[in-house]
Amino acid sequence: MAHIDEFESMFRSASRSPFRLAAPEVAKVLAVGDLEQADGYVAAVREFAEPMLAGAQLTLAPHDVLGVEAMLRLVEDEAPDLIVTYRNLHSDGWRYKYSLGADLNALTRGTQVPVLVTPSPRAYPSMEWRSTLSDHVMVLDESLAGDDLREDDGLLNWAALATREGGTLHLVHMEDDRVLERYLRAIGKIAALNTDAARETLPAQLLKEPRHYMKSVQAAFIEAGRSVTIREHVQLGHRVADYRVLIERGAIDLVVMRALEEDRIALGGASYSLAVALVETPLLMV
Amino acid sequence: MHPVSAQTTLIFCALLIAMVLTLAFEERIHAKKSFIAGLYAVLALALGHATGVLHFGPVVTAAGETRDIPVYVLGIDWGVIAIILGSSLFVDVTSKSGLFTWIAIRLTKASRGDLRRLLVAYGAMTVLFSALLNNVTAMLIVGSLTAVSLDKLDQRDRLLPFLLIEGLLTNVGGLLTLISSVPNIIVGTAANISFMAFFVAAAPYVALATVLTLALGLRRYRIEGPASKKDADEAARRVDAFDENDGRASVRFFRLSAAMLVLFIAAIAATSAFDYPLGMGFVAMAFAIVMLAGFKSEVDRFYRAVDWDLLLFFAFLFIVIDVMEHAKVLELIGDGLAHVIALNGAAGGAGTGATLVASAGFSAVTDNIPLAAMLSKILTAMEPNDFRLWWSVVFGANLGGNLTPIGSASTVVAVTLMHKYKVPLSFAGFVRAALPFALLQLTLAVVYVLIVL
Repeated sequence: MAHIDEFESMFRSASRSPFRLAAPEVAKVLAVGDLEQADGYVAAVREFAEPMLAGAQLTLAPHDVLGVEAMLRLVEDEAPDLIVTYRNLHSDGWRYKYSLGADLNALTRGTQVPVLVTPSPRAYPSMEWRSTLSDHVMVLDESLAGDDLREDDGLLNWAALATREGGTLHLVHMEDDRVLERYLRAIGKIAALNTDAARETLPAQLLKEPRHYMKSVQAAFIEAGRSVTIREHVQLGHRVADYRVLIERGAIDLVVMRALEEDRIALGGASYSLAVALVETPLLMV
Repeated sequence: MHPVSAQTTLIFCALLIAMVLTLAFEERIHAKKSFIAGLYAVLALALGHATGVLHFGPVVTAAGETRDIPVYVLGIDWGVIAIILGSSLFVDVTSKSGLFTWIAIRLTKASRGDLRRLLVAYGAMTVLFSALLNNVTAMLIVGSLTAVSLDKLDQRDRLLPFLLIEGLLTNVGGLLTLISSVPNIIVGTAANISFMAFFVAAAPYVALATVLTLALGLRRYRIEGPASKKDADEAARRVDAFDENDGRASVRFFRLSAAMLVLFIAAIAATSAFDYPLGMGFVAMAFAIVMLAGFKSEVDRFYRAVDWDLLLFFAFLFIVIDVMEHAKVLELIGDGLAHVIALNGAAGGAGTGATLVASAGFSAVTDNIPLAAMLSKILTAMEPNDFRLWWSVVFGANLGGNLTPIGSASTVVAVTLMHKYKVPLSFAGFVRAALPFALLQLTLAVVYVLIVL
């Protein structure tokens, strides 16, 4: 009954899950920090993230709220739609650039609220990132293919909200070339599977689906009357290294990524490595 | 013909019964049809030689030439083999254009995800594809799409009624044209029914039986539309997400395939209507070759996809039936059939009705192709006055497949799909579920054949 699979594959391939534009509502924003004088930082955040914060009530948490438990309790009490903070919160790790800091890790793990993470104001007191105005926003996800692996459109909708009118939204789908090669080598050792056909069709299929999905993103933006340019980056490559190349080449102002990856580990895998490395680029972790 | 003793005829009769029984249990004994028929063809030929039933020697052609052609080659109806081989290749290449999946997805979208409309659309599509392609391909296309669509609509629990009704409609659709099913080709060719005459006679029944089957299915399985406008919009949004152009390799090939399909049907109809001497087999092969031109460096890919089991089954079966004819087994069965047909004299049409029902009963438990091949030979020899007898064989052989899950290749596919998608349905369960539909279709067929044809 090989034909059952053949026709089923054709129909599954034709089945799409198009993007649905639905901007998240941001009414309350909580800024968490440890600066005694935070007015400058708050003003920088307001300027940078204006599309997300427009009309929202921004509350500045007391700078002396210390400890993870107290911080999470505050988040629970305030119930914000978005948290704003910076790298190496409550830590002097900003000097070494080897981590995001234990408190920030705990914050992303302990709450479902999206977190906007800016560069450390101690490491970069001039806060140059404020003037980039989130014109070039990049979305990085495990799978941006409109398939079952994509949990929902939430990440993209946050990115859509964060991108200014006239700006550019970069959508990235990177198939890990080393993982793919490992699978293709395994297929090469299985007599029942055609190696040449797999080598030709598997990468093509893996890259076809995200392209279709990204077309649906473009269609949704046009339908909603948004003047945002959509740039597609669909390729095989090494996630962390090639993400960085794309970020540098695209002069990206804001990177939108998942705080919890598929394996439910907070800031695990490629996201964590990248988040640590991007010390000068604001991140939105959803 | 040499005289054949009654004892010899009975020995060959036993061989024929053994073949039919073996074919009925093909799944149990894990043997392919072609092997079973091949085995009995070898036995029949060897026995035919040993008993002196077969006659050997040169054959005189229409041009008066003498040729040495093996006796088993002469027994095969090469016209039928050419139609099946040519049509299979043509349909296989055409389906690579994405034409049939395009039609299937467009119909799915037109239903807007409403289950009632979806069942009607898929039912109509099953009938159309069964008529244009073949029952098995139709069931594969519509059944696969049904599973994917119902998954997308979160309606996987409705898979049983959908697949069951589609399976039952393949055999109704198989009645529509002369080339829609193998019994039609065999009986229609033997009875000299033209393509158009066949279509005109069968179409009203197919339309009516389809409508009634769908109506019964909707009612029996309580298939309803969306409960609210919100549900309707969500269902429509989900089916709208299908991309009908996904399977299109190229627009040019797609258009060529659509045009060639229309031409193919027209050419087959014209061949039959104008009694073109090269016949439908030639036309089917010619269209297959034209379509293969686009894949001339890789035609072996399509040759591999041909159902050689089916083709060799036909070839071996024709050999067995030819030997049976020489052994006067067909004459013996014909005598028995004559008693059934004689009922027509006692009560108007009772013999024709009985032939239809008996054909259906036989088709329900074993392959309908030996039945069609055997009865067409017998009826050809009998030259019956009542033309409806041919139709009773056509209707009975096709519709009988709906009585059991092994009654036809397409119901086997339907049940295979159910098992694949973990829809539990036993043999008895299938019979219970299908019986009201099969009885409706058979009753309608008897009335139609006796009153309308």
